[in-house]
Formats: sequence, C-alpha cells, structure tokens
Amino acid sequence: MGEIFLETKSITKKFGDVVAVNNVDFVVRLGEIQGLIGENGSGKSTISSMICGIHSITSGEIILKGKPYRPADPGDARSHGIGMIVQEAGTVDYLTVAENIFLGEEKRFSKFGFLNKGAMEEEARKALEAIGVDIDVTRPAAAYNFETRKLVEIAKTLYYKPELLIVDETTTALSQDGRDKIHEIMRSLAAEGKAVLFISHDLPELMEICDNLTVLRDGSLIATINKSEFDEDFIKQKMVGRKIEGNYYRADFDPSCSDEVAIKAEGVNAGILKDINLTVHRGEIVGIGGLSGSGIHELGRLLFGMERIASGSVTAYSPRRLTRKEKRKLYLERAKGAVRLFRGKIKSLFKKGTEAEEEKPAEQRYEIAEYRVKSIRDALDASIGYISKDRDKETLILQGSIRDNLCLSAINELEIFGVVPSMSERQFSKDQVDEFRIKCSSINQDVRELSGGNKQKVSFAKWIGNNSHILVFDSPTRGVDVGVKTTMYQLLYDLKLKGYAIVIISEELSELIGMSDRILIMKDGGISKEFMRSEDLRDSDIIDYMI
Amino acid sequence: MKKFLLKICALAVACAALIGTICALAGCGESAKYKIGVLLYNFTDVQGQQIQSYGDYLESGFDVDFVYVSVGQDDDSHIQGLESCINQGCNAVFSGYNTAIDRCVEMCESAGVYYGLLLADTATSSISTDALQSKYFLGGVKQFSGDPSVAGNQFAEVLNATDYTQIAGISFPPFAFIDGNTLWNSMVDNLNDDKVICDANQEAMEIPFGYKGDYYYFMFTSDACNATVVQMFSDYPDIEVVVGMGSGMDYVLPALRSNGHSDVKMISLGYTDQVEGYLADGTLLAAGNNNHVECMASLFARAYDALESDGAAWYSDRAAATSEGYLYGGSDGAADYVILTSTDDVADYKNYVIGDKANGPITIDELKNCMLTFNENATWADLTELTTRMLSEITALRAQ
Amino acid sequence: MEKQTKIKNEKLLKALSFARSNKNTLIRYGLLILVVIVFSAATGGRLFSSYSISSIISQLTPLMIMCVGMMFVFSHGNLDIAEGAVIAICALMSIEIINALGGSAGGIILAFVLNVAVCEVLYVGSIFLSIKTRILSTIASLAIMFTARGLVTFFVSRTLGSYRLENSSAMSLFQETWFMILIMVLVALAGWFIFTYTRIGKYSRAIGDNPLSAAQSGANVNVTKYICYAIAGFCVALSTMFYLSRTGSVTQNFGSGREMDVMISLILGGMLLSGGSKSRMSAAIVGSITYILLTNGLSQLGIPDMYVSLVKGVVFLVMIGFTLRRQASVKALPR
Repeated sequence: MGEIFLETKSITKKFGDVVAVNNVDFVVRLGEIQGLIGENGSGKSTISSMICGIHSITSGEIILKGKPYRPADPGDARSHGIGMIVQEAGTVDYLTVAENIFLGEEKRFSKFGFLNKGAMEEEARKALEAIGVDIDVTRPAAAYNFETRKLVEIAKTLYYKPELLIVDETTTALSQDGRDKIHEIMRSLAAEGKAVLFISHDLPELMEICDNLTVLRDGSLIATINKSEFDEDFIKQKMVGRKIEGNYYRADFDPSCSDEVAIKAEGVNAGILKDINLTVHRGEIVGIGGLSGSGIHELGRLLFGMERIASGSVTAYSPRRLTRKEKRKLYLERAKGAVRLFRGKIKSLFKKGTEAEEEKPAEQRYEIAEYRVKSIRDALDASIGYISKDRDKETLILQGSIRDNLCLSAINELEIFGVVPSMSERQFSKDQVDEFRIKCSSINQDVRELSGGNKQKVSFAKWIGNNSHILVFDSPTRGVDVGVKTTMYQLLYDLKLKGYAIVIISEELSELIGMSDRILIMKDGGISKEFMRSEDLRDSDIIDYMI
Repeated sequence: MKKFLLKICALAVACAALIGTICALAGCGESAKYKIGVLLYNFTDVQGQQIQSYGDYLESGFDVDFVYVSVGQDDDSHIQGLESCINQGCNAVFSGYNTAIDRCVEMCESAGVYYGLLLADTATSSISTDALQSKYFLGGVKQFSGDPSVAGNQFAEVLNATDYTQIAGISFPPFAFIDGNTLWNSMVDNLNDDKVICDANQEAMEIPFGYKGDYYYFMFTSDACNATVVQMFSDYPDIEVVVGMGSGMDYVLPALRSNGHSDVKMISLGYTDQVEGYLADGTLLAAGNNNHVECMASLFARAYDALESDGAAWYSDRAAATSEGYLYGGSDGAADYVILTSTDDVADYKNYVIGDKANGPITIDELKNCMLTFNENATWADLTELTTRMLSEITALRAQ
Repeated sequence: MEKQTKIKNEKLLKALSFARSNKNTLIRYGLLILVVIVFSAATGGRLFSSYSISSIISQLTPLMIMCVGMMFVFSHGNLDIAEGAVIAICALMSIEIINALGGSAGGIILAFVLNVAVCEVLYVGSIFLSIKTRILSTIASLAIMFTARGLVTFFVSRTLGSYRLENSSAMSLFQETWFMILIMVLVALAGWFIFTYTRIGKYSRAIGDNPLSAAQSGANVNVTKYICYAIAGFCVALSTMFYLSRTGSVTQNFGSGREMDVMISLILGGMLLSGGSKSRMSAAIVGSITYILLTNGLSQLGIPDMYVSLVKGVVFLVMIGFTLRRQASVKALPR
C-alpha cells in the first residue's frame, strides 16, 4: 500500500439545514486510484469541492501529508499539489486553447506588462503533448468539440504537476475514446506514484479503474471496498441502501396494451424527419432508439408540436375541450374544494390530529376528441407532456422554486375563474412532492439546488400532475443515478398500467429493451425498424438497424 | 457564509457613512425670521455663484436665510424643488425659470408662500391671469433693463467699428431665448450696409417670437451646437464673426475651436473666466452677462416688503397686473445686462460686480432706501433705476 | 456549555440562511425602514409633516402607478426606457384636448382615453417590433423614446416654451389627496393581484427566467408579452394624468428622467433587473415609496440636486451588486 497523501477526519458540510456530507473519513494514497461512488446528492462532489477549496469545511479536518490542511480557494489547493477536473465545461469559448490553459496565470508570461504570447503557446503545446494531444493552441476553444476541450482542461490541470488529481464525473459526458484517454492518464499518474481520486456514479467504470472504492449515501460513508472484494450487486446495494436486482427494469414481457390510439403521426415530413408513421396506444410504452443525429430528439419535439410540419399530420386523441358551462361548473367545484381546504386548515389550527379524510369529487370523464398537434399549445390542449433531453434548459426553470415549476404547467388544473389561489398551489405542490418523494427542504426551494435525480422527479411531477395522458420523455434517465433510475422505471411502468401513453426516447438501448412494449429504431430521419417486446431481444439485434 | 456576513458589514458601513454625510451636509443653524428658497439648475456656474454670494450678502443685512435648491430640468423636478422649499419652511421662493409657473403659483398660494421669477419675466412667459394677479406672485425680472434692443445696438456698434463683414448668429431655439430675438433683430437693423448676415434660411417664426429665420439655432446640448456650427460653416465657409447668443462661452466657442475655426471672431452672450484672455487676444469682440446681483436685488426688495406687510405693500407708481395681453408693465422688475468690450471692462466687472458685494452694484443701504419697509416714499421707478445700473455707473460710484 | 454554543451557532446559521434565501424581501423592507428612520431623524420629523406627506403622495402616485405597470415588463427581463418621453407626448396631447373642450370633465375623460390609446399603440407597437424583427425590446423602446421626445420638442418649440392648461383647476381632482390615494391603492392592488395570482403574472415571471421552458409549460410567450406591455401602457397613460395635473404645463423636458426613477424604484424594492421567478409586485410598491422618501429626504436636507443624483447612482450600483444573481452560488450547493 502506498503512503497516505490525504486523509479526511470526520469532515462535515452543511448548506443551511441540509447536511451534504456527514462525518466522512477516508484516505487517498499515493500510487493508487481511489474511487468515490454514490447516488446523485450523496455528497461526493461536495467532498471533492471541499478538498479543492471551492467549499469551506463546516467541521472536521483534512490532513495533507500529516499536516492539517484548509484550502482557501482552488488556487491554494493547487499550490498544495491538488488539481481537479470538473463535470461541467471549464473552458472559455472565445479564448484560444493556450489562453484557456493559462487563464489567470498570464503573469508567468508577461514582462513589463506585456504578454509573451509565443512563450505561452509553446508551454501550452508542451502541456498538451504531455497527455498525448496535438492540436493548434492558437485556435479558440470553441473550435474544438467537447471532448477535446475536456482534454485541454486536463492538460491545464496536469501542467501544475498535481500530486493528487481529482476527476469529478468527467467521463459521463465523453465518448468511449475520450474515456479511454482519461483512464490511461489516471493509470499512468498512479504508476508515477501520484494519487488519483475518481468520482463517478458509473459503477462498471469505477470497478474497472479503481484500486479502492468508497461508497457514500446521503452524505455518509457507507463502506470502503478493496479491489479484490468488488462485487457489482453488493456495491449497488450499498449505494442505494436496498437490495437491487441485477435487472431494475420491468420484469414482465407482456407487450399488450389498449386498442385506443393516443397519438399518431401519419406520413410526417418535418426538418430532418422523413415519412414518419407512428401510433402510440393507451397503456403502451413506445421506445424510440437511434443515434443522436438520427432524428430521435426531433421526433419527440414533433409529437409536442415543436417542429414545423412540411407534410403529413400528428393527431392526438384526448378528452375534449370543456364548454364554457362545464368550465364554470368545474370552477365552482374547485372553489368549493378550496373553501373546504381553507376551513380544514382553520380547524386544524384549533384541533390537532383530527383531520378528516375529505372525499374528492369523482373525476368527470369526457368523451375523446381529436386534436391536430401543430404547436405547443395544441399539444398542451391534447394533454401531452414532454420532457426535453436538455431538461435544465428547456423543461425546468432552475431559478424558480419547486412550486413555481410544478404549478406553471398546471394552471389549467388549479385556476378558479382565472385566478390561482396560493393555497391550492401549495397543496398541489406538496401533494406532488410527497407523491414523487422529491428530496427538498420545502416546496419553496429553488429547483437549481436539487440534485439531478430530484430535478428529473420535478419534471415528471410537472407533467403527471397536470393530468397529461400522453407523455413524451426524451432521455428521461440522463444524468440520473441508479437509485432514482429504479424509481423512474417503476413509475413509468405504473403509468403504463394506469393507461398512460408513453414515448421514451433514449440513446441507451438497454433501457429501451428493458422498458418498452415496442421499440422503433430511427436512422437518417426515418423509422428503420420496429421490434416488439420480447425476452430474447438483445442490443446486438438492434444495432445493425441504427448504423 | 463569510462573504454574506462581509456583505452585511459592508452595507452597514455604507449606511453609516451615508448617514454621516447627510448629517454633515445638512448642518444645523439658528433660523432667521424669513427663509427664502432659490431654485436653479445648478449653483456651480458664474450665475449660480453670483446669486448665492449676493444671497449671503443680503443675509448679513436682513433677517433672512436663503436656501438654494438645485432642480432638474423637467417640469416635475421643478415642482419637487418647490415642494422641498415649502417643506423646509420657506416664506418666499425665487425661481430661475418660468417652468410650470401657473401650478407653482397655485401651490404657493395654498401654502402662503411668495413666488417670483428671478431670471425670467412675465412678458415673455406663458402665464395665466390668475397666477399673474395672485397676491403671492411677486413678478419677474426683465433682463437687458427691459429692452434687449439696446444691447443689440451696442453689439452692432462693436461690429461696425471693425472691418469684418461676414456675420453669422447662433442661438438656442427662438422659443427658448425670446429676448435674443429682439436683440438680434435690433443688431441686424443697426449694422452698416457693408455687413452681410449669413442667413440660416430657417423657417421664420414671427409670432410670437419675432424670429426671421436668419440665425442658426440648436437644441440645448453641446453636441447639437457642434453639429450646427459645422452646418453653418459648410453653408458659409467665409464667416468672420459669429454672434453666439446661446451660451456663447460654454457651447459656441468650444465648438468653433474644435472644428478648427479659431481665427473666427466672436461676440458672446455669456461669461466665464476665459473672457478676459479672449478679449485680450482679440478672439472676442464683446461678451456680456446678466447682472445677477441686480436680479436678486429687484426681486428681494419686493419679496421682503411683501413678507413684512403680508402682501399689502405696493409701490404707488407700480401698475397692478391686469388681464390685458402680455403688457403687464407693473409685474416685472428689471436688471441691466453687462457688456464687456475690453479687458478694462473685465477688470471693473470683476471688481465691482463679481467681487465683494459690499462694494458691489447694490449695497444693502441703497437697497433699503428703495424698499417700502424702510422708506415709505420709495418708488418703483427708484428701484428700477437702482437695479438697472450699468457697469460704468457702478464703477464710477465705487471706484472712489 | 459546548452544546449551548452549538445550538447558538445553529440558530445563527439558520437565521443567516433564512436571510440569504429571503434576501430580496429583506432588502425591500429593510431599505424602507432604514430610509424612514434615517430621514425622519435627520430632518427632525419634517419629512412627515402634513405638507410633506401630501407632496410625497402627489409625487408617489404617478411613480407607483408606473412602477406597477413596468413590473410586468421588467419581470420578463425587458427594459423600458421610453416612459418619460411617452408621458410627455401624452401630456401634450391631453392639454390640447382639455383646452379645446374648455376644461370640462368630458375633455379630461377624452384625454385619458386617447392617452391610453396612444400608450397602447406605442407600447404594444414596440414589443411587436421587437418580436417581429428580433431586436432587443430596449432598442425598440429607445426608438420610441427618441421619436416621442422629438415630437414634443417640435411642438413645444412652436409656442412660448410651454403648453399649459388654460383652466388650471380643470384637473384639480387629480391633485386631491383622497383621489390620489384611492387610485394608487386600486392600481397597486390590481397589479399585485394580476401579477401574483393569474396566468399573466406567472407566465411573465417564468419567461423572465427561461422563455423556452415557459413555452413548453404552456405559456404563450408572445401573447404574454403583448398583454404585459398593454398593462404597462395603460399605467403610463394613467400616470400621465397625475404628472400633468402636478405641473399643469408641458415644456420640452417634461417627464425626462422618469424612466430612471422607475428603474431605481424597482431596484430599491429588491427587484432583479433580469426579472424572473423572484419578481414580486411588492418590489414596485415598496420600492417606489422608498425612492420617493429617499429623494424627498435628501432634498429636504438641502442636499444639492447633483449630490442627490450621486446618491441615487451609488444606491443603484450597490443594489445591483446585492441583488445580482451570482452564478457562483449555483455551485455552492450540494450536488
């Protein structure tokens, strides 16, 4: 075993009321790759942030080579020999590669206030060479793809010859090539006797790379496991705190569903989409698979009315619009409900505990009508819900509270003659938060403060809460860890049983195979093949139709 | 968290500093019998400083305090300035401008405060009869001793004495400086036959301004002035003399210089410290400025009398405001316009107008002698004569 | 003992985190209280003399009305800078109409109706322009500002420097304290209600943060913008009536600087200029009160106008620094 480089002694980090990291002890040794795994929100990134001086430590201490260590900022950490590569993009688009590498360190190359660009570019080239990358350092970072930019960041970090390299979830966004490259770098660092701390929620990857693995759950240390004892199921179980079967998808292989059509596209040409014919029934999960550029995401947008249709049509079948009279009746009903709620609240102020279960008025079923989906508004009228692949940018309002997010799409469900009472909003949000077990300090917490999985839960709640019967989910489990994934899959299955029509768009074949009743594979903007749910369906059967 | 605490501390310190400054600026002092507010755009130029320094001088001879309130140029800011004066307990307010005059008089009436125009007159203002006849309206002060054509004549004489022939005029828009129209027209009429006016060929606005479309005008900003100067010289490249009526020293001269016309001579309405140098080197043929001391004296005499007598005092020879057109002879006082044509004039101006007020245009004793409170036999004619003293007269009186 | 300090610390931490998450609210009311205390002390209570109160109300009414209207525009991150010039052109038109009809009530009503029409055309027009041509709404409002101001200058330059009401008491109703308070309260209540409890306000706030997800959540972004600008236009038209009744005349500078007043008021109310979910109508209401008290307090202390501007500028900067949404704080949270 190598010499201990860094050791944490019951470090704790609190953000207000939330304990992100609770009394965690672990060690990082020279010449080893130490893994840190946990669900989203388990505190792994917080720990690395504390080591790097991004966050302060609430209590406990970090011992660096036998001496107490409290970094003031990332620069301080760097001077102690600690470098970190983060999940998000860390390069500035319009600066050249060289400028990016020496961002904030321009002083090294300046004489009498003048920047010696040549020297800087030369050093930048050397830094990149060291990790085997050969690119033009005088071009702006934006000229390169995400992977290359990541490598630039790595070169930047390694330039300062860190004794401890922290790699935080970097690999999830990279292709296999990029991953291999980073793995190689980590391995060679370890071989040189440096320490590496590798943070991820991708278990197979960690198991392959790491010498030791520390498992975190809810901010607490659960176990530290040596390479010799690695066991996938065991570790997963440790991560989520309950037993997870090797397969967390739905167990049945019954592709049956209702005959009722929920949404269909007929001969649609739109943008890159060519001659799309698609029918989704109630109670059916349709998976759409394909490469990223094959039009799968555009298909999702099409169903939600966001693509301009050149020819063909998208039709949804949903309860008809209410007449004015029915609306008025509905509003009156809601007003009564609100008054009841209010009265209940007042009563519970005086008498505790005796909250009578109130009967909800039976939901009125209206006959099904046909909707042409040409715009988002049509889609919403036809009660279609959509979660974008880029959840943070399109589906959620990060700066808004959970309540703002949930209620925005549910105004139709909450308003009484054009007015949305706060009380109903609160009640509705609370119900959704409970129903989906969203982990938050209150419904007024900003969504940006939530972990990835909880954010996705909010997105789900947003559409299910407003009674959408047709759900189009683009990459629903992207950036979500195992535990939440399981919940999501269970939820999707429940929704299917309740008669929702669900479209899942995903680049992960295993997910589609595991969850869909039917899988449509897309290639070059068209649907190239359809598979029915079956026990025998394998990735390899499908891949041919994608490429 | 630390940063947040730091921020709070910073805010606390900033607030403390703010409070401190406010208290220091506010100051506290003995209050006099009457408080008079003065509303001007600013008190930093020669005009503001002159008004302020004569105010200080008046405080030494009368039981009054002056408060100086600078106001923004829009109507509502003016009203706010007046409200502030009334709030501060002013008994009379001298306003530099006729902005929102009806409303201001109305407000003063309901607050029992006297209101007068310090640098404007009623003849060239649009003002309601109600306001004009109000007990609380003190009237205005006619500049140019009530007759701008005299100054126009003087400028014509200055020009006639030179060999320059190509003459152009530039000013604020005709509506903004109505006396300027009279002045300009009289100057043009009195020029020798060999002089040529570089005609701007603008649309004439005879009524009510008397603008014949012959001088150039611009909209109040130095940028606009610059553009107009460029226009002027592209129309007439041979201009020899520019008569700068719209803030000659502040706007026109810099615009001439920045466009490379430093050899062009100027007659300037407006005074700055540079006038002396430019008169000496011949760039300026003449410059002029309102006699702000006389403006203050004229309005102050009326205000103080009104305050002492609860508005009853009225010069026997002063006509009452009637509702016949714009010819309210009795409502406005008058003040002279100082014209400087040589460095000697500038020296006199500095000594006896800008300098020590006790040795200035109007001393307290002289003023008291023309006020009904101190002299029952004082007349409007006496007061007007006193406040239209010319520089030469003042110099003759004080230079002994 | 140790436990006690720990509890104390925890309480402190809790208080701090509360302060942090309610920063804007604290700023809003904190500043108001601060201004009240500081200036009532510094002016020896003169700030709240009866005359002062009535002049404060007469200054506050048009400002608050405008702030309430502008809240709808500012909440989706749009900035309007044409208010001052629009007020001037409306006031000019109103004077013509009221004079032509001899100061009768009918004339005033007609003037108001036409004001509303003009403001709607200008405001809805500016956002229409901005949506159709994809220019920044601020640029569109800049264009309107210059056009309107140019028109005012043109018309005013044909007169003795000002347009004035011939019958100066024609609009005296608008200077009655009870009337001002009534209208102010009505507008504030209506604005608060619409902004807080209806679709328009909710969509506006969502659009301010993220127009994409607002649209995907059912907001019709363009329609919402039109409605918000229409509301803003109505408020500008209404506040014109009060501004006009205050001055009784229009000179070429009429209304200039009002747009800045609105902006500073909103900022003093803890409003983010970028708009978004954290926008609250109370920012407009409380902010305008704070602003008027601040300016009145300063001028009653005899502080020259240019220092008042300076103080406004400093306050503006400090507040922006405080309310700015820090990107860093996104990172400083558990992942």
